[in-house]
Amino acid sequence: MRNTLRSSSRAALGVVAVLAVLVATALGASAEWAPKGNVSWMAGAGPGSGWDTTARAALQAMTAHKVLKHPVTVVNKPGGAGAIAVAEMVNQHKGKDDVILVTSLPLITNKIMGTSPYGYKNLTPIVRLAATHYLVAVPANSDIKDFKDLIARLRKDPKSVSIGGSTPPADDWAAAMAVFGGAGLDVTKLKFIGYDGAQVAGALLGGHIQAAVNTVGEFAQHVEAGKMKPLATTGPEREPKFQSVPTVKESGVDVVFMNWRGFVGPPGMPKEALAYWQQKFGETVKTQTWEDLRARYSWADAFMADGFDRFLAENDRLMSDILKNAGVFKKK
Amino acid sequence: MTDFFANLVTGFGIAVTPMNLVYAFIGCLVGTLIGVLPGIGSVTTVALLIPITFGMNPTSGLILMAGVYYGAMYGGSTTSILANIPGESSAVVTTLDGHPMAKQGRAGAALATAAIGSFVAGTIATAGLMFLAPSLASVAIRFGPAEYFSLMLLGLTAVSALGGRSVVKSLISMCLGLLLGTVGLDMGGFPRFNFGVVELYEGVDFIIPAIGLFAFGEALDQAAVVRRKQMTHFEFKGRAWLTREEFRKSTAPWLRGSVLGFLVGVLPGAGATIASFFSYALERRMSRHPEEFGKGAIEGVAGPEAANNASVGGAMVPLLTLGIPGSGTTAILLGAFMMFGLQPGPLLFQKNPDVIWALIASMYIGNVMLLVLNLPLIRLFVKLIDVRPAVLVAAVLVLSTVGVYATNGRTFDLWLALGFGVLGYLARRADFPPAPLILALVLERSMEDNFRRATTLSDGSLTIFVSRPISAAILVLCVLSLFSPYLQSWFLSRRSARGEPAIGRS
Repeated sequence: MRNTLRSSSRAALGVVAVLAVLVATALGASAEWAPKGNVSWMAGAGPGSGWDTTARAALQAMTAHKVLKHPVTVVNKPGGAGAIAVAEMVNQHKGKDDVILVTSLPLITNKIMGTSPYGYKNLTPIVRLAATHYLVAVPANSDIKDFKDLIARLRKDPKSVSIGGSTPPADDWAAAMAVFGGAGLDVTKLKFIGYDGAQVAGALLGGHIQAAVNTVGEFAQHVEAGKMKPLATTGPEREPKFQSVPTVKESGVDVVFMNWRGFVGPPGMPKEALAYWQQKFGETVKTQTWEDLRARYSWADAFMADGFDRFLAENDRLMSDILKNAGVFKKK
Repeated sequence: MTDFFANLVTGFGIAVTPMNLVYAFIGCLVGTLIGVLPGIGSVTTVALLIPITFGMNPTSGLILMAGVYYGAMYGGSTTSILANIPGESSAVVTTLDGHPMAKQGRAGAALATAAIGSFVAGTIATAGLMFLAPSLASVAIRFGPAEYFSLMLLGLTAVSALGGRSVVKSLISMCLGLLLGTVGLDMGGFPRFNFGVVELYEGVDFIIPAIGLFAFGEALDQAAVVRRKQMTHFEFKGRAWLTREEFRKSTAPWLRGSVLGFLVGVLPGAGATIASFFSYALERRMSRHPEEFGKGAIEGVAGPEAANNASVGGAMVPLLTLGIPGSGTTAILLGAFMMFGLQPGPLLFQKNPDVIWALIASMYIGNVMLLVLNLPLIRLFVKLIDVRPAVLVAAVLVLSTVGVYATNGRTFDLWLALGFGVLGYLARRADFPPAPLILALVLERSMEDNFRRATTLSDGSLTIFVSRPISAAILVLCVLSLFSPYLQSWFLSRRSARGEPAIGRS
């Protein structure tokens, strides 16, 4: 069964190749390629998850501005923190041009931690669509003055301030590790309390933890309501929402940290399909709908097509270091 | 206060526009249906509605989604009662007495008490949300890791109310549930006890053992005897309504369940399932005839069904006032709010009062709609089980299988559920109660995570659980809960030893 599948897909590949050559010779190298039928966008988690939201937001902008002419279905394949969807891409969709996967940081961390046999190297990077930045905050009535003060206290006694964030290897956990590790602190000595992402705000407001790291979007409303004091943000520049809040880098810790969200294709995805999607997503991020959605979800503009693979390699090194320094990842 | 009612009037003004009434109705109807179908929960349905509601007026969209949410709580009891299939996680407890009631021909009464209880609870919880939201939210965030751990421990003591005759068997069932709860990614980010099976990375979705142990177990049990003896044909006796006696017995549990469910719902991370288990344990404790529980006590249906519905209103409190989702469905609703450009949290009541008050008004309207919708449906539902037992068993198997598959869309889950079915069958034969396993499975993760958080905060010292007043108070309740039956019988025996009448003195 597997053999027939493989040989038929190989045959299909052959046909595609022949067709590509024919088309290329007929129309010249810049031939317009487009998917022939329905296209699937896979999301490695259920409806309403971050991946699902990203895919549907992009689709929304594409539909509203008629960027695409063919139907797209978002297919949810939950399981293994996205590992099941990645495995399906690698094992069942090799060489295909009509299925792509929405992904983010776990693509990198799952591979490093060994919870997924496949990583970004097994797939075809297409685009980075947007990024999420993080905010270090304390309760409004905290006596911690600013980010420098926080670091100074932690340097004196790493256990003097309890810090909340997500559990490893989630993005906001990694943000915290990057920030405090970057400040030269031994992160394994910190009193770091991991929560389900959404519960971090409640824990900080309730005074159970003294500082926290979470996405800018999730903390923004509490800062605006005067319940939290923002100390620093992790993006390369100050946040549009919080022009008065310095970045971590400005505060003397040379770290820029973001989570990225983007799309990858199956291994051996045809070049024309890759170029096609890069172009379509490039058009999408310029639309007004996408701008609005980005603002709504507090996603930073971080579109990248060429060089996305280099970025992933860099991200892979960064995450390996973070995980190793945090003592989460001990193997190798 | 005048402001308050002015707001509510404005809210009703928006909610009763024909278009919004239609959306509320559609939401309630869809919610009831998916509640009836096992496996497809309110989380998935609300999530699927998000892209559909885009472009809709935010108020209408939220009214639709909220309708689905509490509609599902209404519908969840139906299959629990009729076929022993828990349609929603929060309806597991409803099977304990609801299904025995159906077997006795009292399905109509069970469904009616569930529907009316849900209505009472929905109304009370909405009122609670309206009047108490800001003050309750500030209390809720004072629950830290130590308090949550103690609360989950208190939840575990409910096991003593769920079991059959043997305490040891209940405890064994509970321990199995705790062990099962440790499967999957732990707080450190590594999978535990998954034996390399990718499908187990995220743990066992407890709807699978719930359907396996209850529905499959029951079906196998029936199938095993189908040729040997005349099967009990579910006969439907009486009316699809409550007798005066049943109504009287249900009233207190409805009210207690409503208050309890609302309060538990307010705590982020506790939720409908725990609320329903708590309510069941409470009703059994309060009852003058606890031995009837598990054999068709109407209080065992009335209380939990009220509690799980009230928890919906409770879960809205931290969502709307703090932007913190307390349950799976409210997490999705948070996403929906954001899609509409609304940020739930401290500023929502000031920035978008019209949306909030219309949503609250729609919850009142939705509750009435659900009652009107559900009571006539009872007549229809009770006819469904009036078929040949063999046919019914087959239908239960089909429905359960679809339900399990619908949860994650994986065949692996079907094998798992079948495995639990066999376990459920054996457990039934050996008189092991399956409910403690489900309860422990639900509580384990939160219990463990909060224990780890609390002890990290306290540098490993266990005194944090008793030095914090709320946590200490809950622990005292745990002790009382565990020993109350013994204390009670000790008091009674002392009284009778002294020749005093044991009961009826007050």
